[in-house]
Amino acid sequence: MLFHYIRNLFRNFQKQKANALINILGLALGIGVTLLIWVFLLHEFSYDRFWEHHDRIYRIHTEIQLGRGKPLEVPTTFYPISELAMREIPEIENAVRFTSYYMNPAFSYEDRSVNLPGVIFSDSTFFDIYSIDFIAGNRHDALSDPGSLVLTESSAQLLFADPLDALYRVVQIQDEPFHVTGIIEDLPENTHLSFSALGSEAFLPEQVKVSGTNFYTYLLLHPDADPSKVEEKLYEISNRHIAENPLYEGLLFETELSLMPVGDIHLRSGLMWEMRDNGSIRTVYLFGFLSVFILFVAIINYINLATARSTLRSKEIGIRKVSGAHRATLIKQVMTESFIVSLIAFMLAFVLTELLAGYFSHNFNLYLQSSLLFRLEGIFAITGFFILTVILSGLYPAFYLSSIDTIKTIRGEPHRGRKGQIFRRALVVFQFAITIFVISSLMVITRQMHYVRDYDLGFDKEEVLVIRNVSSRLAQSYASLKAELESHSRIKSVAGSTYMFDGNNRVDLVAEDGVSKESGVTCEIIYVDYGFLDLMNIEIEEGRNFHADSEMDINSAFILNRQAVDALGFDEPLNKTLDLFGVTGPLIGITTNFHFKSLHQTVEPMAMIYFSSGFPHLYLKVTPGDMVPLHHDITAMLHSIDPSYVPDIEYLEQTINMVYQQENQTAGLLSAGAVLAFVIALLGVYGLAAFSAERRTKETGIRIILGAGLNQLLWTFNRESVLLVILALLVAAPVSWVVMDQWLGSFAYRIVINPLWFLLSGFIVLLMSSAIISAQAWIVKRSNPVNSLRSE
Amino acid sequence: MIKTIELTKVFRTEEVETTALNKVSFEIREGEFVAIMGPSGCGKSTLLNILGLLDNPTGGQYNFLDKEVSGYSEKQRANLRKRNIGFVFQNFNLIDELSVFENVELPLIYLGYSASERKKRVEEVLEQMQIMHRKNHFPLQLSGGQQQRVAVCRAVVAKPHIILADEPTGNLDSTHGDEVMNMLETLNKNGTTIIMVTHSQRDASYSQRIIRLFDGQIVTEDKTTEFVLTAAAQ
Repeated sequence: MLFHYIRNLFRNFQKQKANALINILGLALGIGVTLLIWVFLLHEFSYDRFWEHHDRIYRIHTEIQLGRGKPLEVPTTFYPISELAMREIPEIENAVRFTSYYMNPAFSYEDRSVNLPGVIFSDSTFFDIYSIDFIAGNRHDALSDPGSLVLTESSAQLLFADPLDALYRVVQIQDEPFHVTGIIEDLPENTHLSFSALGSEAFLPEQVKVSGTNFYTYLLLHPDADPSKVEEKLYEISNRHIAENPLYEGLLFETELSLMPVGDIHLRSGLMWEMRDNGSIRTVYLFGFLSVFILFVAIINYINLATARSTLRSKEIGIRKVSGAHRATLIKQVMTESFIVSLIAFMLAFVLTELLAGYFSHNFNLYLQSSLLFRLEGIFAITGFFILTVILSGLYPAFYLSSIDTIKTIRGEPHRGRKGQIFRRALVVFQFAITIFVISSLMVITRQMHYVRDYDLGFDKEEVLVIRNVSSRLAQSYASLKAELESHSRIKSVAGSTYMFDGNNRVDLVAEDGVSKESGVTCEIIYVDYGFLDLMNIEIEEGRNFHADSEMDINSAFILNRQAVDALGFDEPLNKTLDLFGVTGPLIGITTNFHFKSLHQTVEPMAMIYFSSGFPHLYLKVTPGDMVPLHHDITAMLHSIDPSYVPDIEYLEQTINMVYQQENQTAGLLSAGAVLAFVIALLGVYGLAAFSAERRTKETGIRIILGAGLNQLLWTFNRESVLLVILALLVAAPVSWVVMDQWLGSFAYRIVINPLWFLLSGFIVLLMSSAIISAQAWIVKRSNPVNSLRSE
Repeated sequence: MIKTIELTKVFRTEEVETTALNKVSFEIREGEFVAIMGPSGCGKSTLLNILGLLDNPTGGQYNFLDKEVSGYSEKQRANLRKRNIGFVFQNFNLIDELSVFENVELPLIYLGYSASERKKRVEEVLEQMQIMHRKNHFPLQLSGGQQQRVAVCRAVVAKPHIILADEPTGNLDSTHGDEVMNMLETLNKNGTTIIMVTHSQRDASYSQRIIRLFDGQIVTEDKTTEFVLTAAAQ
């Protein structure tokens, strides 16, 4: 029987080649894009879920309320918390804490030297919690000695031809000797952790540990532990620690500690000071919905074409019934057809996914490995997805076709299927609605990204080069390096800073000296050279800039932004003496509220302090022109001081654009999704239009004989689709409006949605579908009406 | 074999009620060849659909093989139909996408015959109807007469007790028409009961009895030979 069904299906394909092609191709496109999105989603959800104890590992987050500012939440906590918690909370099985210490340090071995970002210094328990495999060395005592160092395989490879040679060698980090006690496998892509080497926490000087929330701290809870109970106990511990620490005396701040499961960090943390860029659960939801939508559009095509063909298949169904087929047998037949079509579509879709994954990985900097689909969870998902596709696409056509009136069909009366027509129209409206939704959403996202790109941030981002993360040696030689750089004809000025648009700043309480700290305000603190504000063209509204080399100003005078002054509530702010954790000095200037962070956030209070050296980033105002020779000259100057430094130079504008990378990726993927949803929907329109033209051949013949012109025929054919697009617009516009308003809500600075964009989206859909339908009408018009009348 | 008692079929729409069959009672014995005649719209096809278990009556009784089947469900009717009834239609009703062999094979598939058994039975009947040489052709490659011969093959392949023929020569020229009628006659002589709806006196002359319908009622039941003799005498 199965063979009979398959044979019959392929005969039908042969007879209706275009129809079969649209059916399979449409479904394959829909499934292919859905699978591609799933590859993306599976990857996003796979973050940190591969650790052996991932379901029991939690990171401690700290929320601090300093003065009158907004509470600040960071993914780190105080150094002693881990020890205290281990001692006092029985639910905890193990704990680890670590922090980074060096800034882009130079690693050297004999005559080889490289800069490696991300050295962390950790408790020896790190490898008890994180199940990273050792290539060489002993995991149990790798971090027990203060001078021990564990390298990742690729870090070791940079210094040694064979990474295994690194074991037991002594390497220098900023001229400090470290004993290599282990080589571990590189971290996988799907973890929030990021480092190239691990040292022992015992190496760190005391000053790093005594105050501040600098330590990433992870707890391994017992299998039956209740995290909320642990949180309650942590609250008590942290506040006791603050009360007992003499350094915090008089600071009056409250903290609250919370636990985040390690598997949630990538998508749900979104905090500053993360080790690397996080994903976003919003994006994941957006793409989840998009994949479902695209799949629906494709399945609807299949259903529509299958039921529309019922008029052509009604005779076959009738004969089968007369020959003894039960309704159940016919349902089985149509479901088998849906199964086979879906199977072919899935096979094509896999090829498509592989091709698209390559394209998007390359062009949108996304991690898309289609092999993810063939892991256990992927196989489960695909099997479920396949069954769903077969059921959704086959069920309605199966019941519809098997219910065709046998008597009429065997007597040669054509099956009109009026009930089916209403359902088909409803499905087309749904399809158009999804297409309008996707197109209008894309319009909103694109406009917002343009708005962000063109927004006046309050400083010059053009012609500013940034040398990021200079080595410690370069930072120490700041004055001579600056002088040498400024001697270059294309470099107008140079200023160092701790500030980076996509980076993290120190956050601390700034208050008026001698006044209760309660009146203070949490500010982002940046350290700058005196020329920084001029170089960036940041306007000083009141007061003055730092005076070059003024002993009075260095590490003493404050410049605040307007937001900080307003938050502090000063009437006459200039020359007030401010206090920042022991540093006191006058407020000498007030800048405008320039946007030092992405437009997702409103401008927060900021304090600037003048430092004369030790900056991690150097800002260079340059003249426009060819970047290559300039880059070459700058590199030569940097290497004359530190030959091992690997230059990280880019335009500030690039850095700023990178902050919106996720949105740009979203827009990129969404535009691909929009195009594909549109193409699939149009394939469906084409199929239905071709079918409708075929079915209406006789009607058209009569109309032509009675004198209908092309325009009248076009209107006859298009009338229905105009109505359907209008209905779709009414459905899609409000939904799209609400969803996009939500999305824009993640920006503090955003566009206003223009209702015309929805109309335009509807018009685009109408235009394309009308073009296709009109082409069909034109073909019918050209045919001989006498032939038309012979049909049926 | 077949007995109807006051068989009635009423079609209802929102505005109109049409009585297609009005208390029709008759009996057909095993091995008979009966023709049903009457003008267009008199209820012939409605009667044939009910006799063929494609439709249920709205009133009266229908005994098929000594069972009262008028209240049977679609599934029960399908079961009974596929084992006992073969159909021949005016418009042949062959599936264009299937070859001659595959069209004829269809009822055997639904009866659950094995592939080898199906092959044997289909070839046997194609041989018998002298259309074996066309077994791999598709319906659209055949003449009308050949198509109807294939349809007859399909109707008899499962060895049904009854063949219902709805205007079997309506779309054929006289030569091909006679050919099909001869086939039906031979089948009848071999024991198959045949009920045929027709407009053609010529075709009706092959039957042993004619049931004449008018406005949904039986007006006469003649012995064909008598009718032919009467007609000849006139």
